[in-house]
Amino acid sequence: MERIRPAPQEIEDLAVRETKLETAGAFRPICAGPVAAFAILAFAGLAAIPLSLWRILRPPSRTNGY
Amino acid sequence: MVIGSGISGASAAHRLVELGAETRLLDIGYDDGALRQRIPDEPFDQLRSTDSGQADYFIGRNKEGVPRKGVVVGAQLTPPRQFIHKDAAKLFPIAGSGFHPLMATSAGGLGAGWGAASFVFSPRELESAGLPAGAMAGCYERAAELLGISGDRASPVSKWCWPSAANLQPPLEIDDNAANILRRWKNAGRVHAGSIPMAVLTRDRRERRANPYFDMDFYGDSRRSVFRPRYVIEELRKSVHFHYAAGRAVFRLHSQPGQPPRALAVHVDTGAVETFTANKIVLCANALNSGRIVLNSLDGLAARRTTVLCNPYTYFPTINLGMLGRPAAGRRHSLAQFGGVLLDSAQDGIDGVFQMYSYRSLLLFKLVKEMPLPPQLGLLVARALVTSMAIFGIFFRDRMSESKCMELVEGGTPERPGLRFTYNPPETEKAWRRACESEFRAALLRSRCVPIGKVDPGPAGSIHYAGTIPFDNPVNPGVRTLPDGTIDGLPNVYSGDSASWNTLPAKGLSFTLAANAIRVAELVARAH
Repeated sequence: MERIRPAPQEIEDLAVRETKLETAGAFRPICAGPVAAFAILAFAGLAAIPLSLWRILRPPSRTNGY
Repeated sequence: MVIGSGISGASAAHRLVELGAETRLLDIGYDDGALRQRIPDEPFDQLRSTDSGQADYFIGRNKEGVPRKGVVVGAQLTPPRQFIHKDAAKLFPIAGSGFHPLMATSAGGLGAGWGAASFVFSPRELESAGLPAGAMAGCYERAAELLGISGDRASPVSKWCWPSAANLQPPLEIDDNAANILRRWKNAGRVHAGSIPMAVLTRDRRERRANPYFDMDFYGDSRRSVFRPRYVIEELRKSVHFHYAAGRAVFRLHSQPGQPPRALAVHVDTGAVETFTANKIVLCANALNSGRIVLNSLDGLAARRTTVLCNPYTYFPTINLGMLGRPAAGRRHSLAQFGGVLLDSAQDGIDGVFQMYSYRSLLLFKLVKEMPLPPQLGLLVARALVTSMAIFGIFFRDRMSESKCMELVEGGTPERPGLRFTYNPPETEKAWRRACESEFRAALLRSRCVPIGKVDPGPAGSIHYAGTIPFDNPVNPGVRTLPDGTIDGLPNVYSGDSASWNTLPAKGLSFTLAANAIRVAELVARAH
């Protein structure tokens, strides 16, 4: 589970992007109704499987020490 | 002389000056006015899309607002509030692990970051804490006048949260998320919810202004609408009867019958030890630090050990299904939107008090950090959920036990004595807390708020401390406050904060700290 969670450096990068005017737009709330929200959650759930597997299996040197 | 400038110290000093006493206040008094001034007086949504320097206050110049791994004291403070515990680890060393209190060194103490929820203790709660209900009634009214409280007397929880005649400004508006939950909330059984009183102005009052609903209340002190003890100190400094000595960390008191008491303080910049003498001393240094000073001052103690109280605290991040995918208006404040009580099984007393917060102004990266998802997906989910996030924090009452102690330890210097905490609630208390959490979780589900986790920030996580110099001390009877308000063994030294309390009700203690400090100031003035 810990290897799936974002690494500290990834969170720091995210925080910097969230507070830069050029990139802050990618952090706006998505408010397209409950159906769209459920669809996003379902998509994220499905996409998480291969992406999480990749994060577990990839070499530690490419994952900020994870 | 008052020691400490938090809610207790500021309230005691204000009442003493009001009663005509020459008053000196000793304080460490760190502040960060520069970063506070740096925050434009504009709404959160606008700052997010226009201010190119927003990283300074949202995540900090050194990224101190980006949470690290493990237990980090002060992690809940936003960068502009980090000054609250500047140098605390150096000035107040803590030995051991497991209890990580937030110790304030700031002007205004922990009140500089107070969430402003204001509660009046019932007569039974006051008596259980050892405080006189009769005398406290008038002091609550004075405290409401000093702090400026808004609230709704017609709220379904008013009879529990505000059993007082004290004046209230009209209540704060609540945001879309909270309104959506309250529309469905059924007040029945043990859990009741509604608008709670807040130390936030909704009408202009002297130099302070009504809350502008900018959702920046976790960062700045916009228009001074949320009460901060600093405002009282600034007003007092205009009086010739008030003397403010900042940069002083008091570590020991000396007091003998028939002699004026003395406070020994170390200057935080130079390290020089100074002595301050007064007719009376009111100790308002925060229950933990007040206890530390007293343990370091009393001679002849068999053990430098005493009791400690701290409200257990649990929070539930939830998804409000009624707001899922829906937009929320930008006009909102950041503090508790509503709150309520968890009654005991006899529905006679209060086991827990909760508050509900919307999440928006704390930025998404902190949500992503908690998700067991790769960051790109976590961000997508956070964007879809953020308007429906509702955080419920619940505080539980605390009672004394021989397994909840703090002691002075070897290793620190005489000016900086260390503390070690033991906080192990008995098994019966742990089981009671689990049962309360289950009851509360069921109430959340009934209102269609689905908990996605349960977080226990640890035994010191509530930042509500008390009971280190209690009226009745079962751990060390030599460390106690006497019925006249003075500390046993330290004549003319009064306990002005929550250190003297025998129990800690579930209700947030801050407003009662102000009322109690006013009561103690009146005792001091009367005795003088």
